[in-house]
Amino acid sequence: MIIATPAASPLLDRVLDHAIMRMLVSLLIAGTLFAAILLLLGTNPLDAYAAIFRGSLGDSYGWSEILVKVVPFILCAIAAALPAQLGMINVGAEGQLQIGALTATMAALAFSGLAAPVLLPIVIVAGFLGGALWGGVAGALRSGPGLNEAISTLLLNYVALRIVDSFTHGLLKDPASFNWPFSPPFVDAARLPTFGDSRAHAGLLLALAAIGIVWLLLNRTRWGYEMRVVGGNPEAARRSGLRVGRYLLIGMLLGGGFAGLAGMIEVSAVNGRLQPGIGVGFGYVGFLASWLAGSRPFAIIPMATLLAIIAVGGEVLQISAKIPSSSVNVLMALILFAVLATRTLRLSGRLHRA
Amino acid sequence: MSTAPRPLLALRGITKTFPGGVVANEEIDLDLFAGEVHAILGENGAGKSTLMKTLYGFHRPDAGSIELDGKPVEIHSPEQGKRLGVGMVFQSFMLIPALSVVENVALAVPDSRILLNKGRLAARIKEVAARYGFSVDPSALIWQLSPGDQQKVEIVKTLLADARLLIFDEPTSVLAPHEVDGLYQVFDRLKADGLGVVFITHKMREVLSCADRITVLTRGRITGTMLRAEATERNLVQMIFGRDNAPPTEGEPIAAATLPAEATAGVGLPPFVELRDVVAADDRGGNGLKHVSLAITPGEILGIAGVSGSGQKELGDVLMGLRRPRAGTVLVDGVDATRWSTRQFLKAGVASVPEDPVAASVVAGMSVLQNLALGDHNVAHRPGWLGIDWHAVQHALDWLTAKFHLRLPRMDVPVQTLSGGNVQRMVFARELSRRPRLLLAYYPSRGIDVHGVAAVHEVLRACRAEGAAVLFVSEDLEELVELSDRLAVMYHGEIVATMAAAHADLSHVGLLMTGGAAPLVLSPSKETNDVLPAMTGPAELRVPA
Repeated sequence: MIIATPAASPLLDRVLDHAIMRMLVSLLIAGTLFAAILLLLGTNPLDAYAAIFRGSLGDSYGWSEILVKVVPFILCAIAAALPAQLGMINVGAEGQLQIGALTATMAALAFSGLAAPVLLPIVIVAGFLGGALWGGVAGALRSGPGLNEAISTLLLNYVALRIVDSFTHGLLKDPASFNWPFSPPFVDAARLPTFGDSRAHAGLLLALAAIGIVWLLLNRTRWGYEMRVVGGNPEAARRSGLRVGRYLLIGMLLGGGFAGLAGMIEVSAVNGRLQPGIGVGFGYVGFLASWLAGSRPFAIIPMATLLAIIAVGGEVLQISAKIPSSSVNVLMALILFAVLATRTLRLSGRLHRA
Repeated sequence: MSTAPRPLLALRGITKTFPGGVVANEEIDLDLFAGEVHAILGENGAGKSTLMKTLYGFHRPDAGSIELDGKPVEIHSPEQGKRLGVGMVFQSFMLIPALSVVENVALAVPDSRILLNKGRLAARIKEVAARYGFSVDPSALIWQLSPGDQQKVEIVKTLLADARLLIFDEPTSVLAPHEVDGLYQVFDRLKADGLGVVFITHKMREVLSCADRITVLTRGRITGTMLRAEATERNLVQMIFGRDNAPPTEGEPIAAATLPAEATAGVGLPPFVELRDVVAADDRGGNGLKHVSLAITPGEILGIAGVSGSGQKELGDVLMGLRRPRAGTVLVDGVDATRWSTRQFLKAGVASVPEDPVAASVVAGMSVLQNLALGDHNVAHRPGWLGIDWHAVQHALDWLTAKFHLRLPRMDVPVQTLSGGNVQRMVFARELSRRPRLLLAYYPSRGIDVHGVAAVHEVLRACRAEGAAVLFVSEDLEELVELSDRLAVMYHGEIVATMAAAHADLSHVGLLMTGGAAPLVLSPSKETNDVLPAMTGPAELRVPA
C-alpha cells in the first residue's frame, strides 16, 4: 500500500507563485539563451551584457536616451493593452503611430502661425485622432464584418508606412530638402519642450498621464467596467444588453489614438519633422511591453523601461561588440517567449486543474 | 487468501483539501466490485466529482491509497488512469465536435498512434455498438449527434480503450427521459460483461432504479453505504440531510400553500409577449424556429417540453433580442418588438437565467459584486458615464443573500471560485432583483440538489404570483407538469402542441417530444383528447406539416 504524499510544492514552485519572481526567472532564461546565441556569433556574452548596461545606465546620455525611448514604448503598450481588455489583439500600434505622426505633421505645418499654447494642443489632438482613425479602421472591420483584428492591424501597418512614404515623397516634401524625402521642419511652437539640455522631453509626462487616464478609465468608470465585461465574456455582455461591437470599435479607436500620440511625440519632440523610418519597430516593442505587463496599466511602466534599457544598450552593442544593434531584437523576442512559457510553468506535480 | 471476493477497486482514506482550506474529500473508503453499479449520491458540492477526478488522475489526493485488483497504484495523470483501465464518461463530453466518431475514438484508443486505420476502427466501433444495442454511425460528425448519441460515443470510446471500470459523472443530465432507460440497459450489459460502474448523481429516483449499491456523500464525507435492497427514498434523504433538516417534501413549498395550484390570474389579460409565425435561424444557418406562434400572459408559467436542441435556445434568443427573426412578428405589450435590441428587451422587463449560467451570464475573473452589477441599467448606474454605485449593488446583494440563502464566503471573491449551483443562484438573484415582467428560466433545476430545486420552484411560483410571465424550459417532464400552467411541446423547431399542464399525459408528451406521436389528426382519438380541450389562452395548436 502506497500512501500518496501530500502535494507539498518545492521551494522553487513557491518562488514562482510571485509574479515578479516569475518575471525574473523568465528574464534569466531569455538572457541565458541570448548568451548562447552570442557565443555562437563569437562574442563574449559577459562583455556584451556589460556593454548593454554600461551603454544605457552608465552615463547621463544613456539615461536621457532611455527616457526618450520609453515614451513611445509606453504609449504603444497602451495601444495593445486597452484593446486586450476587450479580448482583442492589436498588433497595429506600428501603423497607428505612423498615421499619428503624419496627421500631427499636417496640423503642425498647417497652423504654424499659431502660438505654442494653442498650436501644441492642436498637434497633440491631431496625432491622437490620426492613430485613432487607423485603429478605428481595424475596429470597424472587426465589429462589422467580423474581420480578425490581429490580421487587419498587422496588414494595415504596411499600408500606413506606404502612405507616409507617399506624403514625404510628395505633398509634404520640403522644397528645401534637395529632394530628400522629408517634410519641412516644425516651427518651435509646434515642438514639445525638452528638459534642460537633454533630449528627454515633455512627451514623458504625456505618456505617464496616459497611463493614469487608462487606469482610471478601466478601474473607475462604467465604461471601463463594461469593457472588461466584453473582454471577459462577450456572451454575458450581449445578454446584458451591451453593444459589444460598439465597444470593440471604441477600444480600437482609443488604443490607436495612444499609438498616434506616440507618433506625434516622435515628430514633434524627437525629430522635428516627418521622415520615413520614424518610430519603426516601436509598435512591436510596445506590444511586447503590454504582454510582459499582462495588459495592466501600471505594470507597463517598468516593462517599457526595461525594454528601453535593452534598446538603448543595443545601439552601443554595435560599436563595442561589433554585432548588429538589431540583435537585441532577438533578446526581446526571447523574453517574450520565455514569459509566455513560464506563465504556467510548474516544476513539481503533473497536472493542476480545478 | 480470503474467501471474500476481491474488489476491483478499493479506495482507502482518500482526503483532498483544496487551496483555501476547502476539504472536498475526507477519509473516503469505497469499494467497487466487478459486475456492479455503485451509485454515489450527494448534493452539489458534496465532493462526488472531486473523488472521481482523483480516481481518474486529475488531482492527487493529500492522503490515502488506491488499490486496483488488490495492487496499490498511484494515478498521476488521466493517461495513466486510462492505462490502468479507468474510463470516465464526463458530464460535459470530451469530444471534438468537428471530427467524426472514428476520429474521436482514435484519440482514445491506445493502438492507433501513428497510422490511423479508420476502416478497422470503424468496424470495431460498430461491433461494440452492436453488442450494447447502440446505433452509432462511425463516420458521423460529432456536432451532428444528439447529446444522447454523443454519450454513446463516449461510452464506446472508453470501452475500446479497454476500460474495466467506468465512471459516469451525472450522465442523465443531458438525456431525454426516454433515453435514460436506454442508459440503464447499457449499465446492465456492462455489468454482465464483468465491468464495474460508478454512477455519480444527485437524483434519488435514478439511484433507486439502477444501482446495486449506494454510497451517500455529504460535505466531503461518506455518511453511509447500503445495498439497493435496503435503500428507500426515506432513509436516503435522512442520510443526505441528516434526521433533523430533511428538505420540504416535494409539492409543498411555502409559496404553493398560499397560491392556487393553477394560477388563473393570467386568464383574460393581454399577453405580455407574443410571437406570430416567427422563423429564426439556428447557429448553423438552418431554421431553428419554424413558424412558431406563442403567447405568454402575465401571471402564468408556460412550460416548454422538448428534447434539448428542439428550438428552445432560439426561442429564448428571440425573446431577448439576441437573434433577429427571419420572418414573423414579435410583440411586447402589443408593440412591435421584432427589431428590438437586447437592451430594449431588458428595459421592457425581460430577464433570463440561461442554460449554462457559468458560460453565458457571468464574467470569470470578476468578483461576485462586479458580476451582480451586470446588466443592470437602472439601479447601479450613476448618472453620466462615470462610475457604478457599488453601494446599491451591495445593498441588492445583502437582500439577495438573505432571500436565497446564498452562502458566499466574501463579496470580493472571484466568481469562478463559486460552485456551479451557487453561480446559478447568483444569476437567478441578479435577474430577479430587476423585477422582471418576463423571466426566461432555462433548465433551472438541472444539476442542483433537492434543496435547490425546491427553492427554484418556489422562486418561479413567487414570480408568477407577482404577475410576471415565466417561460420555463426543462427536461424533467414531471417538474414541467407540476409547475407550469400551460405546456408547449417543441420538436424540430416547431411547437407541436400546447395544452393545460394539469391535463397533460406524460407518455403522450414524451412521444410528441421525440416526433413519435402521429401528427395531430383532428379526430376524437384518445390521445388528441388529452390535448385539444385543454388549451387555454391564445390557442396555438400546430399541425406539423
